[in-house]
Order: sequence, then C-alpha cells, then structure tokens
Amino acid sequence: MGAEDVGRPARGDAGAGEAAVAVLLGAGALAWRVADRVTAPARWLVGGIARPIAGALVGPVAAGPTAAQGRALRAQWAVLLARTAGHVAREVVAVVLPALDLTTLVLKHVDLDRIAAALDLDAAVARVDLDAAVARVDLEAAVARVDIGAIVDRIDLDAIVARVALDAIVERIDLDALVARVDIGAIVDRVDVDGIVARVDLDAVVARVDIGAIVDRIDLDAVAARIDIEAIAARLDLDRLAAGLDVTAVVDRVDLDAVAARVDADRVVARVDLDAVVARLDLVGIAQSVIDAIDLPEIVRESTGALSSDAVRAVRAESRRADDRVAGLFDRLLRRTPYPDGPPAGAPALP
Amino acid sequence: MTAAERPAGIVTRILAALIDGVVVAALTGAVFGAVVAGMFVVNPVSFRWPHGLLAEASLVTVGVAVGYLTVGWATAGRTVGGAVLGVRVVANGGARLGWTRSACRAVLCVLVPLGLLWVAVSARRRSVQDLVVRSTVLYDARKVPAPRAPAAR
Repeated sequence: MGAEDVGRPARGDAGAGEAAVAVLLGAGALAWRVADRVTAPARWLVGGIARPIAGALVGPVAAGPTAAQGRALRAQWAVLLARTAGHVAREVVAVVLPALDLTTLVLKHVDLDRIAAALDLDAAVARVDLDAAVARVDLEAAVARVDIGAIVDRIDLDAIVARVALDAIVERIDLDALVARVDIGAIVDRVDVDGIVARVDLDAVVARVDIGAIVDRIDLDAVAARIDIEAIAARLDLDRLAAGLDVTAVVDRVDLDAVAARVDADRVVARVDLDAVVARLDLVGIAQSVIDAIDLPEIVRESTGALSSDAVRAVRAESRRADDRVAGLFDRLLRRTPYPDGPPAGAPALP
Repeated sequence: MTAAERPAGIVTRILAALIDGVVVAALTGAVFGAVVAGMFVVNPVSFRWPHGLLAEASLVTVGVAVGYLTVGWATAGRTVGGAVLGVRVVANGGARLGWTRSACRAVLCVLVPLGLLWVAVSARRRSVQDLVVRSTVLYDARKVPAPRAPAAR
C-alpha cells in the first residue's frame, strides 16, 4: 500500500469490495451455467421422455384426481431432482474449480462493466456492517506499519498552509472555550522557567522598558493603602538593619542646622525632667574629668610662678634702688663723685 | 663679668644675707631633728628631748652656715639669698671663687657678719670679707626668666 492510498482509504476499500462482488458474481454465474449444463440431460429426460411416457400410462386412468396426483408427483420429482442436481453440481464444482483459472474465465467471459452497472452499490454498502468490520481491524498494527516520517516528508506543508484560510479558522475558534479547557497549572509545571530565563537577554529587555511610563501609570496611593505596614514592621529585624547602617554617613547627610532651626528648644526643655537628669549625672566623675582635662595643677603652678617672678623682680628692683640711694647718701657724706649708674665692677676706689 | 654688671649695694646684700640666715636656720633645724630622730630610733626607751645644748647648737649652726655658704659660692657663685636678690659672688677678675676662698669668705661672714656694713662705705661696694679674699658681689645681669605662658588648649 502506498502513501497515496493512505489518503484515499475509502476508494481502495470500495474497489476491493467491487472486485470481490464481481468475483463472487462471476463464480456464481459460472456455477449456475455449469449446473444448468449438467442438469440439462436430466431435464430433457424428464420433460421429453418420462413425462410423455407417464402421461401415456396414467393419462386415461387419472383424468381427474389422477392429474392432481401427477402434478404433485412431478413437483416432488422436481424437488428431488433439484436437490440431486445441487449435490451433483457441488461435487462437480469441487472437482472442476481447482482445475479452472476462474480469473481468466471471468475476465474473458464476464462483462464486468455491465455487471457493475447493474449492481446497486449503495444498497450493498448499506447492507455492510461497517462497525463490525472496523472492529475487526487491528488499527494499532496498521498504524505501526505506517511510515509517518516518509508521509510527512512527502507532504508539502507550505502549499497546505498557503491554502488554509487561517483567518476564517481563527474566527471560528471559540478561544474562550479553548482557554477554559487548558490546564494552565500543568503547562506551567512543564515549562523550564530557568532555562527560558537563562536564554533571555534581560539587559536588552530592561533597556526597552519605559520605567517612567510604568511609574506614571501606577496608583501609588492605592498601592500604599493596600500595604499592611504593621505586618511588615513586625517581620523586620530592626537590630540587623541598624547594625548594617552606616550611621556616620547618615548623620553627615543630615542638615542638622535646618533640623535644629525647626526644634522648639523651649518646649523640649520644658518637658525635660532636669532633676532626674542631674540625679543620674556623675558630677564627681565629671569634675574629675574636667580637672584632668584642663590640668588645673599646672595652671596653679604657672600662676604661682608668675606671681613669684613678679615679686622677685619687684624686690630686686627696689633693693637696687635702695642700694643706689644708700650709695648716694654715703657719696654725699664722703663727698665722693658718684658713678652715674653705680660703680662699675673692678673700678678703682675713689679717693 | 661684663661692663653692665655692677657691684651689689648694702641693702641687696643684707636682704640676701637674711634669706641665707633663714635657710641656715632651717638646715640647722633639719640636722637637729635628724639627730634627735636618730637618737630616738637608737634608744627609744631612754629617749629624752635634749636640753641645754646651746653650745652644741651654736657650733652646729656655724658649721651648717659655713658649709652652706661655701658650697653655694664655690659651685654656683650664689646662695639661695643671692639667687632671690639676683647677685652672685665672683673673684675680682670675674672668675668663679674657689673652694678655699669660698670657705674663708664663709667663715669670715659667719664670725664677723658686721664686716658686711663696709659695703656702704666702700666706693666699690666691697665688704671686709671681699677685701680679705679679694672677691666682689655683682648684680646678676641675667634676667629672671619670665613665667611661662599658659599652653594653648
């Protein structure tokens, strides 16, 4: 069976059926003719010899009831003869048929076209039990023998597709019904999302996204209204978040002057419990820290040193002036010429 | 010795001597206390505060004074009183006074303190001790160091 026959199974079946019918009919006609020829001498004997003899023997006797008995006897003889002819014919056919080339005989002597024209194929097909026939066919074995690849190779899909009116097909498709019958979950389960994502050029996709337009279309108020802030806050690990914060960088970015300008210091101070704050202060420790920071002993030493130096300078200056006054007094008493700024060291004694 | 250095007068030297007298008294007291403490440590049971030690105390005072003055003049040229009043003792040539001359000058100053009054009479402001050991007392030209300015904080 060729590939073209596969596309026309009804035509092939019909041809085979017609051939089978023709063969049966030919065989039947041949059997009938053979039987007719075989039984012809018998009919001749019955009609041409026996019937006149019988009529001559019993005709005068059975003019009335006898005639009826004769007809019945003939009928019985006819039946008996027919049966006998049938048996003989079957035996003859069984003997003769194997020796005959029936196909050649049929082709030679039977007008198949005439027979076919005389056949009522519709009635014959109507009498066929197609369901039973199909039930008897081993479809799986038949399909297993089909070379699907070769069939597909021989199909001109382009031509087929070119002939298909896709628009009309699409218009006739009830997409809603199709989608309703689709098991989206099963499809998604079978999809290799990782493989698909790995093949996607996300950079190019993102580059083509108009983020501004998307953001403009988002109703942020509605989104924010649907967010359960309390639940989110309850799930946050604030300690970890705080540990990851660069507090210094945050503080550097804060405009503390602006913040301080907005603070009502009077109200803040009014709310502060200064007594409690003072009670919690380690004033002794703070004082010690201040003393350590300003190095108070060094300040005292410096102050004392400054005072001592000033006192010493004053004492020296006064004592030297007193020396000069005493020297001047004795110079006048002793009538000596005083040195203008006191006697130089090593100067000779004045007379 | 520079030309700007002048001999110290009578008032300055008396004040310096008074300060040195206080220092010597303190040193003497310290020595006396050390001796008494030593006596107490050696024999605390029979220890009694010493009485009637005027001669010994005077001798100790003289010794302390001579030693104190000798060391001061021979090493730095000045004692505590001289440092306060800004005077120093040098030889006539301006050199540092030696140990011997310092010791002689110290003994003379302790035994004959009135010799200091000759400074007022002397045209070159020299005492009797200066005349004996050929020394002189000069105003120290070096200025008193100014107090340190507080460190900037």
